[in-house]
Parts: sequence; C-alpha cells; structure tokens
Amino acid sequence: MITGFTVILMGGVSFCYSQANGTPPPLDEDLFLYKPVPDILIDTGKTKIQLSSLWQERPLLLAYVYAECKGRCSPYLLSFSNAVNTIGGVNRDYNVLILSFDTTDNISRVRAFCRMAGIDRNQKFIIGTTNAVDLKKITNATGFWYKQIGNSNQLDHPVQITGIANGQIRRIITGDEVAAQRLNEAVQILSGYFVRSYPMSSKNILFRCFETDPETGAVKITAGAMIFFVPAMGILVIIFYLFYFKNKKTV
Amino acid sequence: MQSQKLYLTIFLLIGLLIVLTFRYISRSTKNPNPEWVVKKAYKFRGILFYVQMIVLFVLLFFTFSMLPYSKSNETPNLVIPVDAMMFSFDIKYPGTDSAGTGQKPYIPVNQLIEFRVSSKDVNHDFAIYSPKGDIIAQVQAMPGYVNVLRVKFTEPGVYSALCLEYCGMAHQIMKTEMEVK
Amino acid sequence: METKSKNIFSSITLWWMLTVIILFIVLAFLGLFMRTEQANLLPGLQEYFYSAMTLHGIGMAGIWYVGSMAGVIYVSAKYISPSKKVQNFSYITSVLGIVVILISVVIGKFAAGWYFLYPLPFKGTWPMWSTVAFLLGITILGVSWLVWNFDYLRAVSEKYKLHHALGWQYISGKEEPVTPPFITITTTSVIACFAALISAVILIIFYFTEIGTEKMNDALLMKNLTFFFGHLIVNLSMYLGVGIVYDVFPEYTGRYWKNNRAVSIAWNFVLLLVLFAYFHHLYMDFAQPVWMQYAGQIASYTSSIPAAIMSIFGTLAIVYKSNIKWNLSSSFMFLGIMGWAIGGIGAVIDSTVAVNTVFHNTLWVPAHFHTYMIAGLVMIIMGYFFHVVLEISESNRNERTSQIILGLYLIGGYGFVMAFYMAGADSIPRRYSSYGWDVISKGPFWAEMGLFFGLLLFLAILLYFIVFFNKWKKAYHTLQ
Repeated sequence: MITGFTVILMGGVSFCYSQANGTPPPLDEDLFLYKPVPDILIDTGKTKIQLSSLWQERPLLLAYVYAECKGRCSPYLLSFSNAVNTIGGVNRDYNVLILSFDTTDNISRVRAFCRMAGIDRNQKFIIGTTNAVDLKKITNATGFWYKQIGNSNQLDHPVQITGIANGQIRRIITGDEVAAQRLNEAVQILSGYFVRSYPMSSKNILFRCFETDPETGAVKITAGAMIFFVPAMGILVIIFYLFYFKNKKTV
Repeated sequence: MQSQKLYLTIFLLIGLLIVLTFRYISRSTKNPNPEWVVKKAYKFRGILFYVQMIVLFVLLFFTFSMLPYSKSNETPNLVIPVDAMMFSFDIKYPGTDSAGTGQKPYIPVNQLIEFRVSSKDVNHDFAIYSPKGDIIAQVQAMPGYVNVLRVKFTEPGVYSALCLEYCGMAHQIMKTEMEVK
Repeated sequence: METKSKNIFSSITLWWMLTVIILFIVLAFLGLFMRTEQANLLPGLQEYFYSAMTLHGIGMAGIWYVGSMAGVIYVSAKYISPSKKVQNFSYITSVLGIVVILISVVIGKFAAGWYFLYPLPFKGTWPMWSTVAFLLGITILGVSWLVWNFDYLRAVSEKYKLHHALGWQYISGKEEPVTPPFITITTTSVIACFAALISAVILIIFYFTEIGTEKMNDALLMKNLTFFFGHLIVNLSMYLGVGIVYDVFPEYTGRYWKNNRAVSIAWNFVLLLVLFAYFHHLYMDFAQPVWMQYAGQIASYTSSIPAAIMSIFGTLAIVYKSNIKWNLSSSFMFLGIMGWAIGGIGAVIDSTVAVNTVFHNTLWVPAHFHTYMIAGLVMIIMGYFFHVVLEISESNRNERTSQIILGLYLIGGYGFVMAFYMAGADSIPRRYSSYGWDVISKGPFWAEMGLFFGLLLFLAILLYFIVFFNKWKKAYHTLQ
C-alpha cells in the first residue's frame, strides 16, 4: 500500500519535473536593479529619437530581437505580444520598444519580422534599431548578450523584457515565455503601484507554487499548486482502502 | 501603550482568568457533590460558545483592517531594494553607488518608504527595530522572491534591522543600521 | 485499584515510556544549555548552540509525538487491536531514526534547525553528508510513523465503520452504536497525521531530487510543505494527548465522558481546521496569496473554539464537585489541560496577522509552544505515563513526593515560559545564540531568568524520573 503510494507520488513528481525542463541560464536581476540606462539614439525609420523620450511620460518595456532569427525571437515576440494584449494599456500606461540587436538589420526588415511574428500595427509598439556603439552601451547596461553561431548569420542570445522607469531598470523578466501575470506585475512596479511580492527570474526551479491569473487575480492550478492536494488525496486513498476496500464486510 | 506591551497585558489577564478558573474547579472537589451531573453545565457551555464566537469574530473583523499587505496605491517617496545574504543586509539606497560618494545615505522621516526585500541565498527576515528596541515592521526575505514592505518612520533616529529567520551559524550577527532624519 | 486483563502492549509501552523520559531529560538539558549561552554564561561553547537547538527541536517534537502515540496505543487496546509487530517495528525504526539524526548533528555538526528550512541544509557550514544523514533520519521516522498510523487506522477500520469512528451517528441525532470519544479523537488525529507525514515525504523527495539533479526548488513551496508538516505533527501530538485525557480522566473522577453530537462536531471540525492553521507561519511571507493569510487567521481562531468549549470546558465540568482522587497523574493531567488553554491564548494572539508583524520569530513564539508543551502536553503525558506504570505494577496511587514535584514543576515551568513571553514582548529574537546588539540588550537578562526557572523545572523532572523509574522497575518485574 505505502509502496504503491510512493510509486504514484514519484510518478507525479517526475511528470511535473519533466515539464519544468529547458529553462534558460539565469540572469541575476538584482545586479541591474536601479542601475541607470544610457540615453541612446533610436532609429525608428521615420525619425531618430532619444531613448529617454520613451520613459519620460510613462514606463518603458524593452525587448530585444533581430530580423534574421530562426530561433526563439518569433515565439518570444508572440508570447510577449499576447501578454501585452491580455493586460492592455500600451501607449497609455507604458511604452513598448522592440530593439534590434543586429547592427546589420535595417528598420523595414525588423518591422517585417515583427509583423510575421504576430505584432500588429495597432499595438502601437515602437520598433527601432541603433548604432553599434549605442547597442553595446544598452546591452551592457541591461545584462543582455549575443554572439555569432559559427559562420552563420544566426546569433545566440537570451530573451528578456527590461522594465525601465525614470531612466532606471526596475524589473527584468526572463524566461522563454512572457507570462501576462509577470508583465502585469512589472508594469505595476514600474508605475509605482504597490505589488506585495513578485517572483524573481525563474532560476531552474522544479515547481512554482502559486501563479495567479492576471485578469481575475485567482490562483491558477499549476503543477506546483497540485502538490498541496497530494496529502489530501493520500488521506482519501488510505481511508478508502482501509474502510471500504479491505473491510468491505463491515460497511 | 506600545503594541507589544498591550498584547502581553491581554495575555496575562486572560491567563490569570484561566488559572483562577482551574483553581476554583479543583477547590470545588474538596466538597464533592455526587448529585451534580455534567449535563447541568451544558447550558453554560452553550453561552460560552456564543460568547467565544462573538469575541473572535469581532476581533477578526477589526484586525483584518490592520494587515501589513497594504493595498493602497499611494506612491512611495523612496524605494529601497534590500538584499539579505549570509550574514549581512545590502541596503541599496537609490542614487548611491557601491563606491560611495562621501555623503552617508539616510531615510527621510514621515515619508512612505518602500523596501524591496529579497535574499541572495537562504531565507532571512528583515525586521526593523526602533531606536528603543521594539520591532515596528518586518518581512521575510525569501530567495527567488521580492517581498515589498512599506514603512513610514514617524520618529527620527538610528533604526536597526535584524535577521529574524534562522539562517546559519552567524545568524545572530546579521544586522544593519538605517538613519532616519 | 481496579484490575484489568493484562494489556498486550504493556511491555512495549514500558520501553516507549522509558525511552521518552530519558531522551526528555537529555533534550531538556540541551534547552538549559541554550538559555545558558544566551545569558552569556558559557561564552566558550557558543558554536554548539545551533546544533543543540536543532537536536532539542527535532528531539522534543519527536518524543512527544511518539509519547502521545504510544499512550494512545496502550489505551486503544481496550477498544481495538493494533498489531503488536507494528508496535515493535515502530519502536525499533524510531530509535534507528533518532540514532541517524544524532550522528548527523553530533558528528556531522548539522545545524539547520529542526524544521531544516530550504535551502539552508544545502548552504550551511556542515558537510553535505550530514545533511543527507539528517534527511535520511527524517525519512526513517516518516516511514516508521506512516506504518504506525496506518496500522492504527487499520485496527479502527476492523471494528468501526468510518462514519461511526468519526461519530457521525451522533451528528445525525442517533445514540447507537456507541463510539467512545477516544476513538473519534484519535481517528480524526491519525487521519490528519497522514497529511503531515505525506507532506514530509514529498518534502524529502524534493530534497533528494535537488541532491540528485541540477534542479532547484521553489523556496515558497518548500516552506509551505515544511510548516504544513511541522505544525501538524506538533499540533496533533497535543490532540492525541487530549484523547488520552478523555479516556483516562474518568477513572479518577468517576464521571464518564460520553460521546455526543457536540463532541463529534467539534472533533470533525478540528480535523478540517488543523490542516489550514499552519498558514500562520507564513504571514510575513508576502509572496503567499493574501487569501491564505486570511484563511490562516480564521482557521487559527476558530480551531480554539472546539478546544475551549469541548475539551477544556469538558475537563472542568467533569472535575467540578466530583469525587476525584488527586495524585501525581490526575494533577498533572488536569493542570496539563490548563497549560494547553494558556498556551492557546498565546497562540491565538500571535496568530493575528497584525500582531504577528511584531511577534513573528521573537521569543513570543517559543513562549507559546513551550507553554503548550511543558505546561500542557508534557504534563499530560508524564501524568499518564505515571498512571500506566502504577497500573502495570499494580501499585498504590498515592505518592508522597508528588506535592514537591508538582510545586517545583509549576513554578519552574511557568517561570521558564514567562521569561520567554516577557522577552517576546521586548522584541527579543528567537534562535539567537547570543544577544550582542544594543537594541536587544534585554535578551541576556530574560535568558538568565529563564535559566533560573529552567533549573527548578529540570530538578522537578529529575525528581519525577526517580519516582517514575522506581515504579517502572516494579512494573518491569511484574511483567516478567
């Protein structure tokens, strides 16, 4: 009985465990918090603007992509754009800048790439490129890196959303997907609202216990939350086994 | 009265009441009365039940308005990240570099301060002690999470922060000071 | 003295009792050592403080759990038939688990606290093997106690239907069949105990997963599991002890505790509430969803209602103007219920979120649970153990030294916990090996006070042991 139970438990653990695989190498957000962001020049195609103009009125969310990416940029942009659609408020509560980190990119190609990845024109995202010197400044300041893979035109790089308010980094969201909940917290933090607590970049974590729905605020049933039900289910299994299965006659 | 002493007084009064009750009951056995049956106490038990329910629910109602998880969206005057680690606190006053610019950073009095507390290694706790040595607020510092504590210091002075979650062999030396002026 | 057919668990219970009392003395000594360190009276030995704290904590939580459980098994022989083999198995494996933990702490210098809060076991100054050994010791105890609980519930299931064991017939207004309150209380407690042990198993699996792979665990999830398990096991020890009082106390008062609707509702209610009370350990973890914090305070508050209305009030009612025979056993059990009530007040105060902001992890916390234990459960079990050795050895129930033991115990015990309460109200932190800072400069004074009363208490425990061991030997020879 107990062995059986342990087996079920181990099975459950390995099941949830396999789901958590594939997390990217962690970035220590703390090292960058409250560090100033360099006021670089952004080329949006029509005009050249200072980065500071984007954080003047409202906070700024910054994502990095490059147009030739055949890897994680497109799915990442899609999840980012979905998260933004879920929480709403672009150009009202915050600005979004998609910045190319490939200096050979030209703006129209980056635009086309974003469009293919699912970014809509009415989403009011700002899409831009910058020069090599400025790119180095901003990536250094925000903990972002990239390197060429062999002789190909492909670049190896992490994915992250950098949250900037008043010219300082206030939050960096890492992870292969942008969860709307994380993005929502980040926007609240950037806007100075009270957020009781938020998890830092996932660092190779087995399970998270609580994830909440950004729209309703309700706790979602994730693998981590399910663990709380295991003791209760264990009790039920034992009771049913003893009182209704093993000693059927007495019932 | 300072809140800790108030709670202590409540505890001592109720504790005394319990001791006196038990004493009264044990004394009653000196003159036993076998005629007295436990059922006679049921009515009194019913009253006690309702009294306890009412007292607890009134207390629940009042204390729920005093939770430290403030929902207020008042913008804090100052946001200070705090990193706890074995066995120190790194208070990152905004605008100061780790190199230090000469002027000692301080916390302004009567302003809303937001501490963003996290931990670099194990669980710690960031407990703020007034200059007189009373805890005024605290929050756990948990690795992987940033917990946000909002405090308004109403009196100037040198406040201390101690770690209140056992974090290893030098847990008791983990302390930092903050000047409020 | 009434004669009974010989209890089949007499022999194993004797061994349980002796083991518990001897370990109690050793662990109490470690407690005194800790207070001595905090009073700065033995500055050279400070490095052993946290190891002593770890051993004291796990040991006390463990022995009073097995003490209560062993007592429950002995009483239960009146109603049901747990397996004798399982009793022996649990005894041997529990001792083995204790030995492994001892090796980890004494030789390996493991000092992560009895609740080994993740990820501290991996980040300490002690070697990795001692962490593994500690976790292994916990695993052995977990398996041992799972089997023990499983067998107890099996024995219940052979005699009672589930709804009868839980007393639901009374709730629906029937008086038949009769279920002793002891069975209802222990069944609900044992069921809840499964939840505690299963969460301990999950916790241990997560630890070993982290040792075996590159994965890390979520600190919040681990903390929830830790306190669910830790809070429950200590809380349930108390309930098992109360179950014993329900059954044994009537032998002294001549009035019987009958099961009825109120008793059944109360204990079924407790089974549910006790699962949520642990939330109050995480009030200062703002990452925990707020509804859990509300639920924690509600569960902690409401779980005091059945305790006060049924068990504490019930004890008073059963004693009032009764023909009770006061001796060491009945006095200890009666006063144990009083200590439970007083500790409960300390607990309810601290389970208020707003209060917890200033009391969390100060000495107020050990104050309330030491009241529960020293003045509550320990008194109940010590009283009950004495009752059992007298019963087995067929001795007279009057013991001349009992007044002295009782007096010393009460003065020592309450003085000892008061030093904790006062220090808690002075914001003195718990789990500090010394109080070197100005802001907590009252710490050493309260430690001295605690030490003084602690020594009186220790003396009372030693006197108890002498009297107890005397009867124990007699009981042992009676069985041969």
